[in-house]
Amino acid sequence: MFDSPSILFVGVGSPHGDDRIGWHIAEILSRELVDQDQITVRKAAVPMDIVDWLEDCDELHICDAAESQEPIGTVRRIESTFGQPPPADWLGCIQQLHGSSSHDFSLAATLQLARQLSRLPPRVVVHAVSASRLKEGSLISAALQRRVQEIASTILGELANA
Amino acid sequence: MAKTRNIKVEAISRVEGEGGLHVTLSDGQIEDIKLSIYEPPRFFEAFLRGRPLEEVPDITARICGICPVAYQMSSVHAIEQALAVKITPEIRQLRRLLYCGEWIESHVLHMHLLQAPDFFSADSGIDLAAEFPDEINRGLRMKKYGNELLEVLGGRAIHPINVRVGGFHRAPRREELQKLIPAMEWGLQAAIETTRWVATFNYPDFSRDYEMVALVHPDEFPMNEGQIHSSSGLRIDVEEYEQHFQERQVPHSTALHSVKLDAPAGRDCYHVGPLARIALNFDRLSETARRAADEVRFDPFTGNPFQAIIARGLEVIQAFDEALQILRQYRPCRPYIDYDYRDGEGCSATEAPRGLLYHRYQVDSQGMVKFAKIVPPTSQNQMQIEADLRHWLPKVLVDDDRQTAVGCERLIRSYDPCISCSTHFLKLTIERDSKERQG
Repeated sequence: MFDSPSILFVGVGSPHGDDRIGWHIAEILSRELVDQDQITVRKAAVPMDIVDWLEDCDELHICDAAESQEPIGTVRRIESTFGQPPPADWLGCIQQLHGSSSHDFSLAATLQLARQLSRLPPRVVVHAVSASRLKEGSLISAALQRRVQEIASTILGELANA
Repeated sequence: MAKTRNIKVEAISRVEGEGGLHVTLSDGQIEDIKLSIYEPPRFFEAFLRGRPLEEVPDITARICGICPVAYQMSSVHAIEQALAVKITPEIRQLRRLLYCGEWIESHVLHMHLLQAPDFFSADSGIDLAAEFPDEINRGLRMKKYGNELLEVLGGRAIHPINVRVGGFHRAPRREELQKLIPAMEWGLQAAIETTRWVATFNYPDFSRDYEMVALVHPDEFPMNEGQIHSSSGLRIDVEEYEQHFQERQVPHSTALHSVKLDAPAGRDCYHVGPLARIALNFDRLSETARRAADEVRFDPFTGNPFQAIIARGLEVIQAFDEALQILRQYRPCRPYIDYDYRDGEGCSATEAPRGLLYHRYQVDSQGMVKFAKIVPPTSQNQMQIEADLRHWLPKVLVDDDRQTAVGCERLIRSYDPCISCSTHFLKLTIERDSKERQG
C-alpha cells in the first residue's frame, strides 16, 4: 500500500486589498482540512518562506493574486510536473503574479531558486487569482470577495483528490 | 562650452524598495551624483500621532518586512523610557534573542542571494545557486533557523505580533526554546563556514575613511542598548542624538538625508551598519566570532564597503552564539511589566541589521502618542553612499551605461539598503556629453 503524498498548500498574500486572497483561501483550507494529516496549509507574506517548507513535500500548491486582464476572481491554474517540461509560459505566467517582493524575490524567482537547488517537489501547481485592487491598506474588492468561497471549494476538491 | 553626459540607473535590483541614480558628467568629469529615492513617503511618524501607544510596536513593525524587530525594539524601548518602565533582565534577554533571529535571517539573505552574486558576475542568487548549490542551501537553512527564532518568540517571522510595551504578550515555554538548540548549534558552525567562504571572495581595491557610528555597550555586542560612539571620538548618550545628528530634506529624494552636525560641510556624512558596529565593538564580539575574524584576517577597521559581507558573517556567528547562550539558560518568566500612563518623552536607539535606528516619542496621560520621530539606517547611510559613488564611479565608468549602472549597483548593494523603510531605491541616469560619446 502506498502512502498518501504529502501536500503543502501555501497562500501568499498581504493585508492589502485583493492581495489578501492567498491568505483568505489558506484560512478557509485550514478550517476545512483540520483532520487531514497529509495536507499542510500555511500562509506566507513573502514567497521566499516557501523554500523553508519544502522538505518532505511531494506536491506543492500555491495560491496568489495575479495582475491580469481577465475578470476579477478568474483562476488560472499553472502546473509543472517532474519529468515533464513545464508549459512554455509557466514562469511567464507566474511572473504576472503579484509584482515583485522584498529584495526582488518574487514568487517566480523563489520557484526558480528552488528548482535550481532541486528542492521543488515533483508536482507544483500555482492557482493564480486575477485581482484588481492591490493598493496598500485597501480592503478586498467586493467582486473578489464574492468568489472566495468558490475558489476555496475548487482547490479543496483538487487537494482531496490528490 | 562644457558638454554633459547623463547616466541613469532606472532601477536598482536586489535591494528593498525603489530608487534611482542620476549622474552628470561634464567634459568627462563627475559633476553631480544624486541618489534618488522615489517611493512615496510613508508618513508613519504622522499617523502614529493620536494613536494608543500599545499600537506602536505593531504599526512600526510594518515599516519593513525584513527588519520589523528593529522597529519594534526601538519603539518599545523609547516608549518604556517615556513611561519610566524598567523591564526585567529576563525580558531583556528574550528581546536580544528575538534580535538574534532577525540579524540571522536578514544578514544571511543579503550575503547569499543579494551581495554574493556580485563577486561572481552572476545576475542573481538563482544563477549563483547553480555554481554554489551547497553554499546557497546552507544559507537558506541558516535563514530558516533565524525565522524559527522569530516565530517562537514573535508569533510569526514576518511582522511579529508578540512584542508589547513592557515585554511580550506571552513568554515561550522552556521546551519550545530548548528544541531550537540543535539548530542553533548547527547554525553556529554553518556561519563560521560561510564567513570563511565569503572571505575568499575577490574584493575591489577600494577603501574610504569613514566616520563610523554605532552603539557601544560596555559588556556586550550592541543590539538594543548602549551609548552612541563614532570613530572620531564622539561619545554621547542616546538622549543627545538629535543634538549631533540631523535629518535634512534634499530636492532629489523623498527620503531624508541624515548629517553629523559637528562635522564640516562636505564631510558630514557617516557610516552605520555592520562595518561600523565591528570597528567600534570588536572586543565585544564573542570569542568564536573574534577567532573567525582572526582566521580570515579580517581588518576590523576596514574602510572597504564591499567587505561588509564579511562583517555580516561575523555578526551571524555572534547571533547564533548568543542565541545558544540565551536558549541554554532560559527559564520562563513573567512576560511583561505593568505600567501606568503618564505624560512623558522617551527615545531609544537599537542596531537594526542595516545600522543604527533611532526613535523618539511623546506620550500623554491618556496613553496616546503625541509625537513620533523615526530615523532609519538607510537615511543615515544615504549621503555616505553618494560620497562613496563619487570615488567609485571613475573605476566603473565605461561608455556602456548599463555596465556602469551594474558597477554602481554593486557598491550600493554592499550597504544592504532598505529603501522602502528609509521611507524608500534605484534607477541610474548618467548625463554624458556628446564629445565623450564620440570618444
